[in-house]
Amino acid sequence: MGDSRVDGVWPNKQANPGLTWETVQMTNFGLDAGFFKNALSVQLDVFDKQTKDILLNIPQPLELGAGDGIPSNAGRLSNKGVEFMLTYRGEIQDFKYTFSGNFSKIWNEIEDLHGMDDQINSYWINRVGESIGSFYMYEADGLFSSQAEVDAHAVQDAATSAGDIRYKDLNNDGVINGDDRAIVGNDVPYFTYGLNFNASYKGFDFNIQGQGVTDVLVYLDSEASQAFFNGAGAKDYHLGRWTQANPNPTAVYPRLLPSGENQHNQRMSTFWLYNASYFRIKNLVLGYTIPSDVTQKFGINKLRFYVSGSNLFTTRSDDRLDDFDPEIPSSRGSYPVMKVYSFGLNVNF
Amino acid sequence: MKQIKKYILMSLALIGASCSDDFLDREPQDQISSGTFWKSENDVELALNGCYAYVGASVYDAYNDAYADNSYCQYPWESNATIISAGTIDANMDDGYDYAGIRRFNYFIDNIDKAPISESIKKQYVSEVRVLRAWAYYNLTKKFGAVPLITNFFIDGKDVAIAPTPESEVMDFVISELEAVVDNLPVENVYKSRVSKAAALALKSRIHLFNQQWAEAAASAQQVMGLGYELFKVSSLSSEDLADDYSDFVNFDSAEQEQKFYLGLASYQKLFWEANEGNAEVIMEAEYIPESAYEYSSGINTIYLADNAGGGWSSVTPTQGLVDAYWTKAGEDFAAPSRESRAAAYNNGDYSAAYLEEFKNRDTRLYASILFPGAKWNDLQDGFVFSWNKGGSNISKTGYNYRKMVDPSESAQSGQYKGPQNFPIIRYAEVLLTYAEAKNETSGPSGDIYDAIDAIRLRAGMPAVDRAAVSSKDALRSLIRNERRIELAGEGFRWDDIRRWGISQEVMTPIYSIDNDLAQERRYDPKFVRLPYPQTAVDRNPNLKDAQEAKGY
Repeated sequence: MGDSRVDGVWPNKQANPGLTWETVQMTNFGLDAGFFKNALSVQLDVFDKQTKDILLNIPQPLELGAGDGIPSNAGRLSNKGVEFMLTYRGEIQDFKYTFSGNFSKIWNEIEDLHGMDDQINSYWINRVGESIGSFYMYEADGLFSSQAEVDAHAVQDAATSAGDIRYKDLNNDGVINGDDRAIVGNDVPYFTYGLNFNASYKGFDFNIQGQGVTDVLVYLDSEASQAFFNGAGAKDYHLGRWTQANPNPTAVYPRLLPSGENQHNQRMSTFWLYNASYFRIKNLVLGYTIPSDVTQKFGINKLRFYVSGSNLFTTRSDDRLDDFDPEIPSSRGSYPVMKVYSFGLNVNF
Repeated sequence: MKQIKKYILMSLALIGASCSDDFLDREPQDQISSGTFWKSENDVELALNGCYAYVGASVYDAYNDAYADNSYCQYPWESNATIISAGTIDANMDDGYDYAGIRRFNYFIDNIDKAPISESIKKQYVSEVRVLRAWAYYNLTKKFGAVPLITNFFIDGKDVAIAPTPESEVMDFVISELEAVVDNLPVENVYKSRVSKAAALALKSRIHLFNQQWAEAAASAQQVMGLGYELFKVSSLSSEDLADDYSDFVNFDSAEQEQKFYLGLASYQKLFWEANEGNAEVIMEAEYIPESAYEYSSGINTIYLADNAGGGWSSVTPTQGLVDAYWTKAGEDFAAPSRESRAAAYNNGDYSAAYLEEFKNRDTRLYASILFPGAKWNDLQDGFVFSWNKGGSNISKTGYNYRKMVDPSESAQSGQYKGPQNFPIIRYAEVLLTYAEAKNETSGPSGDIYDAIDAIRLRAGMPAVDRAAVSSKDALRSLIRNERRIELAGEGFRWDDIRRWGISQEVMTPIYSIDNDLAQERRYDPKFVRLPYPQTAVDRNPNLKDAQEAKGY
């Protein structure tokens, strides 16, 4: 005001004075067993975890004008799961090794939302009977290959034309709108697994760790999936897009349009859901320790050289995700974890 | 061990001493909470400032002309103008279904009684905030139609997820609010960014006009006309005003006409400059200051100018349709060349003298408002002649840029987001145009209507209306409509105007660039007269569902 800045005060975040802790009731059956003089060990854990008063950001009506979500003790959640781990230790003369593998599977279900069912937040929904992290959006059904197909389909958008994404008219009312959204997957990795292998032979040591998840989807928008978004580049797979010459209804990408005219293809739909299952070699280490009788002559107790690498290999279920980090959450994209190679030396005096 | 025992005892003692029931129920020390607020006049001032952050208009209204046929916004991430003008409107879009301001206003109105301030200040502040709230509801209802009418501060979402109130009832509420408080407002407020009596009356006439309540619109406008505002005029010419030689563009019949032209040009463009903030034409303005961050500068220079003209982004650019709308210098309709012949004369930028013909002997405001290839602007940069670098980054898609409202002064050219000048929210010219339109609809042509239009024209160095030639109600209506389009171009009125005139269907057609390339495909569907509630709003307030369907979405 009057060419200077002034401060102001207003009601901002909604408080929830009644907020309290979540209560967790856990039932757990564990089994530890060893076989062959404990060379093979097995751990099995079956659990049933009931969480009451789960803390959720309850989406608020826009008419409240108070921004997005008030943290509340908003319901009951059930997590039933199995964790399994198997380890085998063995040795063949100087060659010693340990192999272990594990997996964990969780069945997650929202059991109660205190009467506030169907909390839709961006592309997620919290619905009783479903899992946390459920995607809620249009179901894409390939691409239109001709104007005749567009005309025959439910009305999507004035700009819809051949080469655009076709959305399923789930309620068959001839119009694609908010009523045609459905739960189409989940972005929480409820099945995870890992593998670990350790070995040593004389002065050499070797370790490799891998991890993976299956049955998980990721939603990518803006730069992460759109070619030339806001001056960004395009990916190789975009070459397989729909064109007049390639009117393939299952093409990997719709027709190319300027951003300003492409809103109808950027609706939240399964077209932009990617299969985020992956397996990744998280760590790999190879080391060599020079025998101590040699090094002690130089006053050194232990001298070890090693090379190691992180995130060296990743296999992904979705080819289009080649240059994405499968560990990132649904988003526009972010910096992936780096591949790291290191060479090192451990010296103990 | 002894040591450890001692610590255990000490911690037990601490636990014993500290665990009273309300220990965790603290007012946060680093934030203001409602429990400790409303204790002083200063608290009230702060809360009022908080309300003014949500005035119903701002520089972003510059994008609104790109919802209509005046402008084109090429960046979909800057506003919804791109989607709206393309006609791909659906509930995936949220064009400002926002109650954040209304929440602040209701909080203020419901709580100010707690504060120890005088009744007269309280009365004035509450009245100002009720105007802001009425304005917010006007903005919501003219865009979304029926909306939930919430007039108290609530903390529980269930209290506000209510069925929408029909548009006509919301409009009635808005008008009754303005009527209830207008006499409590100061004739002049401390700043022109604050609500004054004239601002409330001008807003009221704007709303009546939107609702085609012609007599009421004319009456409210007339009340403002008695409050001492006048059109901004420069009385003498500086070297800056004469920096561009217009003898190439305008055939001056006399030295007197030349003088009028330059005075008109300077008056119309300098009305918006930083040096003239708060001038006698400004009834209310949004205040901005030189850039320190994006939130303090209006950015209008950056939004309107091009990469090769003042380092702008060409975010909002004029359409050929707007350029064609400017009168000839005689104040008559201009007969534009065909797209094909223009493109041929333009010859991909290597244009002949024939290309510039269409910019000769036109309305002064064309030169003050539009950068066309060949336009001069020495105040921006010595020897500057606008050229269109088609296809470049931050370059217009239509071939034109706005220069209206841009301040070329050196002080306004610094920073990334340029535009320290205030943005006019309500200016006297609008009131005159509203009066003229409403009065003509009420009772047909009369002297006071021509006077109002003539005042606007003469200020811009244009001739008065030929009253004999424009003598019927219909002719005068179409003249007023075009005058309004020209005078208020780029200020955010056009979308409301084409909707209330019912001409969207005929004007929302594809737009082409100077060289006859399609700049934007445009489609129109009659349902676009009101926008859909965003899907999120319907998801969280299912009471909106029926109204959404009734709107055709």
